[in-house]
Amino acid sequence: MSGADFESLLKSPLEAPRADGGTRWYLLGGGLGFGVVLALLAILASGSSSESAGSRSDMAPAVSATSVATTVPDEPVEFVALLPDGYLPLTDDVGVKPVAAMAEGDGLLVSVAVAVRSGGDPAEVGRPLGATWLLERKDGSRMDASGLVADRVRPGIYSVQFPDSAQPGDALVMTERWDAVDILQEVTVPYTNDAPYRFPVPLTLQLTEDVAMLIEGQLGRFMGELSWLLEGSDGLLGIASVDVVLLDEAGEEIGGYGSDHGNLNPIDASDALQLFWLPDFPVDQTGAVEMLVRVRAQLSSRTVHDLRFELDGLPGSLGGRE
Amino acid sequence: LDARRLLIGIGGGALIAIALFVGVGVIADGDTDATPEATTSTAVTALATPPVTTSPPLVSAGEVVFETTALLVTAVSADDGEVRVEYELVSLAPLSGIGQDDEEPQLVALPEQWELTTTDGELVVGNVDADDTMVRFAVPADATRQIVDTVRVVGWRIGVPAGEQVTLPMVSGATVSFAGGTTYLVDTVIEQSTSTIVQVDVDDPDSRWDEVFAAPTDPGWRVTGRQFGGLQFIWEGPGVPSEIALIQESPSWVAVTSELTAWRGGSS
Repeated sequence: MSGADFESLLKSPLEAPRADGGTRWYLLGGGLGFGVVLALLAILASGSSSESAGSRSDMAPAVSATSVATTVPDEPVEFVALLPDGYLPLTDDVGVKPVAAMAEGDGLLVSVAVAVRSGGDPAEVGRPLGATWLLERKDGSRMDASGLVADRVRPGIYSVQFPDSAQPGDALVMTERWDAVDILQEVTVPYTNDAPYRFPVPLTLQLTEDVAMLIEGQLGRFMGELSWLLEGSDGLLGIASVDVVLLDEAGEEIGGYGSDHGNLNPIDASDALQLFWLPDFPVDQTGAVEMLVRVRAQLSSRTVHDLRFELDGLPGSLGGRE
Repeated sequence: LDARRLLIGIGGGALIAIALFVGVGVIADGDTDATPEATTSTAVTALATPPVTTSPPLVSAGEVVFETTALLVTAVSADDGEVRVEYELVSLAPLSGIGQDDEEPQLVALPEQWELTTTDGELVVGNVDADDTMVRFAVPADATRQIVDTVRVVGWRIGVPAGEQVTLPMVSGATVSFAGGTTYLVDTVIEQSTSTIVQVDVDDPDSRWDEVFAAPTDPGWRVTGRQFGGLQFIWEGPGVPSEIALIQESPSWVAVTSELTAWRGGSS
């Protein structure tokens, strides 16, 4: 036996291809192993995706896994399908829908709800301030809304007031949406501890380049009143809260007044607020020489936007309060 | 030929892995039979709750949504003649923006009426706890959770900002009522040297949905609570108005009757 022949006997059949093309079992074995790994990876991947999709609630795992597998479509979903039933898109993040209509005296009150789309985080999505709504009659004539009222502690809803009642077949039409522009502005003016102390006239805060807020008010020992008016831009509306801080000669805070408006905020060009002295007794206004007025406001930024909703069949509908 | 062998190998491997996975699953199911309650309920729930929606969930799979509220059933249990359905309510309302940071936002819509259908087809009306996190259904004392076929929300309320206004004359004995039924009654008017106090009794209707909280529209009136209930309105200085204009601060709760399946168990 030659050396070459001896080496060939020592070699494994898998080490080199056979000239006759015989069965290569290593390919089959390797394929088996690879197939097992692939299949296990696929199974694990499907399991983990179900868990992560269902992990936002404390639902029983079986419910989450089953539901996710059947509710998440593979193809992109139209935006309207990302909103609750009946809602129409207002921005990229939220939709709107009228949810109730009630007679209010001789007029009409239509309440509009705002909801974040699927995948949006309500805590991160800005609230729209409101919208220009019209009541459209069956004959095509339109009636302007007379007011808009927001509920400060229920940010998902506001009510639109109309001076006249609705008829069957009427529709609610939006022509503009009002995006909210957040403003935080303050001004410091001299303070004298008179009773009552009256705000200097005029007390003006420049909220934006074009918009100023004119403030009038007075402060007593325990409470005060204040009114504000927006000036400088036609059709500008907003909501605002105003806090007042009293400072001593060193610029240190002595105490302050907080504003209380109640739950309902008319979205308007002016408003009145009540102020309350915040520090506990016996701290009072003694030593204050300056007054810091801090305004937090949301102003309307209007954008043309067309939406239309039928009013017939709304809860509380048109026959009066429930 | 090599490629065929490789493919045969991969396919075979996949089949082996799937067979192993199914086998482990069967063994696992067999293990949980040691605790019949948990095993049965999990298996039944998994098979019996295929949601019909084709849209992705707004908050989580299994949710039901009414207006801007998503409801998620978190637990269903039965004990001592009672099926208890615990749930979580999640607001879908956008929150970001100035003016919201000092108040805990409240839900616009709340579930009010619930029904449970047993696997025998019996209908049971639910009673909601005051904190809106659980609804209870009376069932036979020996009933288990397997008695539940479906749990449905069949009515809810929408809290709409209405701002109804009424006027209360500042005369002892004068009354005024809001549409929901809450009545304000002037009990006493006390003239002091530098201020005027008006003590008012508030009579709420039985239903919590009809209760109205109101505040004066004139910021000159300061409001405090009154001992043993009711309110006290205080006007400092001269110029006391002859009446108090009140505006409804709480929402008007509009009733909606509809039907949403919140949980499905037993035989579907």
